[in-house]
Amino acid sequence: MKKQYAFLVDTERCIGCFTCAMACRNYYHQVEGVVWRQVHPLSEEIYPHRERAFLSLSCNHCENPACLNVCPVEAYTKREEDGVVVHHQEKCIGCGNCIRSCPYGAPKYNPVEKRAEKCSLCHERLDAGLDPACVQACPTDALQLVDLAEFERTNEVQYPAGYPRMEGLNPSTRFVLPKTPKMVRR
Amino acid sequence: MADLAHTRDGARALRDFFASRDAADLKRASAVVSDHFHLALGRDTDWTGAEYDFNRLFVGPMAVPAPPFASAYQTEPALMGEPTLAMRDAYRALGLMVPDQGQTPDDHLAFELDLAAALPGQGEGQDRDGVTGAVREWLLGEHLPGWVPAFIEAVRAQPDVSAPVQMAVAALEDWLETIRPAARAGEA
Amino acid sequence: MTAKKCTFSRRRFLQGAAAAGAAAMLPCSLLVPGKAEAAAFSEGDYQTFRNACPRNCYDTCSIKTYVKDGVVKFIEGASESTYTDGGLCVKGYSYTRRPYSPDRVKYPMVQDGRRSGKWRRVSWDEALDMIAKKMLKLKEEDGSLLGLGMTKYSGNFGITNYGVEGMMSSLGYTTRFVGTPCWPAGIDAQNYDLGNMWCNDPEDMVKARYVIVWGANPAWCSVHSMKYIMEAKRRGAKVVVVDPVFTQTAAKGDVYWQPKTASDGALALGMARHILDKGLVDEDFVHNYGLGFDEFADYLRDNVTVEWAAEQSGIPARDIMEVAEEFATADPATIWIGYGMQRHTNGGASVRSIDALVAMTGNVGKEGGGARYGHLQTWGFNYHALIQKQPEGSKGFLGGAAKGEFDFTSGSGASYTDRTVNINKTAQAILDTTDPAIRMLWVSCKNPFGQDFDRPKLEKAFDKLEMVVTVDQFFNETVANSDIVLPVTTLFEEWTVNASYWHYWLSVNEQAIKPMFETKSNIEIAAALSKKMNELSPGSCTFPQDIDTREWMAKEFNQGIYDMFGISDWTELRNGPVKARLKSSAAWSDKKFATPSGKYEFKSELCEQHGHKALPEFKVGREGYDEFRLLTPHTKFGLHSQFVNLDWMHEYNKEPYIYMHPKAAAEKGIGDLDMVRVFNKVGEQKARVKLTDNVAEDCLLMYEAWFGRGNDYNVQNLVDDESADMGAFKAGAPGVAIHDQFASVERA
Repeated sequence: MKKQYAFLVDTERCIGCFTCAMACRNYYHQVEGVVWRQVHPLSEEIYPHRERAFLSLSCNHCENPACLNVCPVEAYTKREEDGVVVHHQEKCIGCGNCIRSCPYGAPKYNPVEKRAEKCSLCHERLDAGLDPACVQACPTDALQLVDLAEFERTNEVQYPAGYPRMEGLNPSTRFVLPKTPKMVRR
Repeated sequence: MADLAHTRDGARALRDFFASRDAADLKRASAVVSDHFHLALGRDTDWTGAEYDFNRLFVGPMAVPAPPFASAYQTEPALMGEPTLAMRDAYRALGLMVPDQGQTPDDHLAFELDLAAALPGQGEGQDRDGVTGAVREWLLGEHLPGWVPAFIEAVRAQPDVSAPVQMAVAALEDWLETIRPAARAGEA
Repeated sequence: MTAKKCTFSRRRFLQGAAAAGAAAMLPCSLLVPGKAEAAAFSEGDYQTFRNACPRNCYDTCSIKTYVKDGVVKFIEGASESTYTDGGLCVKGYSYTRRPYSPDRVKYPMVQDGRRSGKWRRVSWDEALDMIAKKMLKLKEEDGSLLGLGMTKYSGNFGITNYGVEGMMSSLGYTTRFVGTPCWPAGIDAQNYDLGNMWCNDPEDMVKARYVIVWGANPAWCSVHSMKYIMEAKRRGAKVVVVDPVFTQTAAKGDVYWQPKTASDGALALGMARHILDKGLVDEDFVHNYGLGFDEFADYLRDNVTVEWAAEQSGIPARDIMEVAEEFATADPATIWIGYGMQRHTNGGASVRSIDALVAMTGNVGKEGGGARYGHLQTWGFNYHALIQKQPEGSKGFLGGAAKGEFDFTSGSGASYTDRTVNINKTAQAILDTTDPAIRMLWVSCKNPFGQDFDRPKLEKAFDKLEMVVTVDQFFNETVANSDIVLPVTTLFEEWTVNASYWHYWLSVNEQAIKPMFETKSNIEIAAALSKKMNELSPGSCTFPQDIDTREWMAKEFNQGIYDMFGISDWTELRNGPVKARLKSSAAWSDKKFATPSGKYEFKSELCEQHGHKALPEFKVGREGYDEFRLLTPHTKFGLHSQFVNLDWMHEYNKEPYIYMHPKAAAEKGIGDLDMVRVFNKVGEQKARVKLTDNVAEDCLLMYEAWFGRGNDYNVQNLVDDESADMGAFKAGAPGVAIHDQFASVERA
């Protein structure tokens, strides 16, 4: 398998602190309302306690990215060297195809630039040998950068409950599922 | 195209209005704005009330609904953003800078109007390297029209705006109209 | 950073134009094609500075700040600190929104009528003239400056900010609001038991074989500590979380206990009794290093049973026994005692019970063990800014002053002192204090309307004051209730140094950018005031009038600090934070305690002399006075009343909620996301409700403080100023029973 960088989201370690999301904003200063990385609480059907387990999500850097496939102006590229799906905003014409096509909602519309944008996995930081801003920021290592080609599988899953199963796209993000403690209540 | 000198005088009058610190400044600047733009100003103006209102809208200490900084209207509502640094580069290109750079953001409306009032017009003076023309074109044709209407709208969205501020904002709108043809002419 | 900003920026075009002349002058859009990739990040593009988060937080993160063209572009955690490990928290990463918020307080301003919103901009000179004249008038009319009050606490813990206290001293003897709403009952408890509050290095929690997190929520309030708890767990430790709320930390434990609020003492004593019965006491520790253990054991046998503890707490007896046995047999085992669990009328007593549980199992003084609460071991600065002399001939208070927990000064021996009043009863103190009355108030590093109790009463109290001066970065309810607001610098605009009350790292805070607008740091304000005072009345203020803030930061260092941290000069901190060189990661590793006996005192005569029980006996909690218990703990999106107002935070935290159990809500006909009104004898607050079994049926939960952004949400409308049992010994005033509050709720 070719090198494919991916986010590993370990929800057993995740404390839903939003540090990753804010670290992204700190680094890229997205326009108000545009969120590249969001921390989503799991519904109580999936985790029985409200707002106590989360999925930290941004772009999945899919094997076959829908955004790239539908873009009329080649504003998306998938990097040969590490599989990162990069959005080149200067080429973007703001047609919205990618936004409508991504089942994970990764590309967002920037109302100021009138173009799309999304997480490009801090490729300019990767090129400098640095971690993505969100991964660097995570205080519990719940968010990690892994290479799927070398990644040793243990207990992680590709499609946790509530997450769209899109096998044709083959999203790269992997998840470790959350646990619940033994509850002793009065 | 409006008379160049007249446009510059308007910029100066508005500059002084938006650089006001107190009621006395507002009174003085309002008189000039009123005169220049032929906008009436009531005789019984409560200048202290106008000062409170000016501070409520533009200065603080409460969260200001209409910050007089370009950066507050563009990519993100924060000061010292890209528009601020674009202005800084424009000043730099002309060998200028704001006093105590880093203290008051370079894109305060008063600074920008100061530059607008100082820039030579098309065909005026020496512009061998074209920098002056480029800055003029950008400032008058793109930058100011890019954010000042949003600023004016933010003021007008507020309830009970005082008469001098209403007048100044109307004057600013008029002035913005006069610079547009100038900028277009520059592009030709 | 982003590709778009590099390629589309008009100013790049202008730079090009300036450098290359007319030939290069092309419309910006033509420059774009062909440059598809953003250039790799290069640190060389930025100036970097060292900063430190000065907020009241366990983590006191070391920050690395990236500045370009005099503007902070982004920040990150210092990689040199193993504790911060390159990361900050959700609050830290929003920091750049503080200097650059359009909403910031920018200039000195005067309000014509409190809460009128009629503000005039004045120069520093005019503002200080008004302030100084008022101070001189007070002195003339009252014969002293005791009519001048100062309230300051944890808004900025940078050491040079103790210059606010220094400024007050330099004016004369004044009235000080002392004590702390935060942690004083537990501080006293630990002082009675151990002789000081001193916790292990949090990084050694990885060695623990058993971890009980008791009334603390580090997943929100100390995010960088969670990795150590998780690592201990990975190595096989069991993690038990005890909290009346199913917190995010609780969700990460192996076992969650939800006891009845304020029953912690009973629970700990029940565990202690079981350990005693099972013969699991560390006999060597309790007899060779402890004092009064036999009497404690007798107390347990005579007064405590596991069944009683189960009844008091609601935790079944078998669970109490199981965890007690596991805790006593694990080696080492540790308890993190949270500040939340001591904010009760029996909080100090409860902390003593938990200390005893840790001590009787021999876990005090052990790496990976410990009754962890906090420490001030690394705070041995010079307090150069703090220590100022009163002007010659100053008159003050006769009768002695109480000292706060951060006051490291020794007494001056002067016959006069400041007058001290309880910071937890700010409103009452202003209303009650006479001869002379408090007539003028200086507020800095604090938002009393967001943090002090009984907000309706506070408004009445403020109305009695003749002049209120508030030093702040943002407009909040305290500023609204002030006459003069003075704009203060953010951490990026001042020099200072920061230590933690939890971990053992030290960070310098460099001035990374020029102070914006007309902001000044607290010590610059003090110097400017001094200049004005001396202009009007020579000799009326001793504070130096011309100061270099970098120099003043340097003056806080001494050889003791250098030796502790293994540096020869503070400038080495510019390479990154450093950690204290500890002979052991454990506090009290030599088992020599700072108590009068030199031993761990299960029985403390000092405690008894101070009006409490000598033994860590059970103390009944506050009687409920309304239908539901009301809890107002910290939110993850703010620190007290800071950060919540920032636009970036708003992106993830749109509005405040009240949290309520679905069953209790059903009985009231309240549905999810309904607008409700919470009310009690103090006041009322409306907000929308979220239904969740994270809270018990008899409980309402609202995250603390002030929301800002035009929302009037403020939990202090519902919290009264009832005192905790302890705190006066070491913090100058008792703590406050923040979590012994009660309220009703109905659909709004």
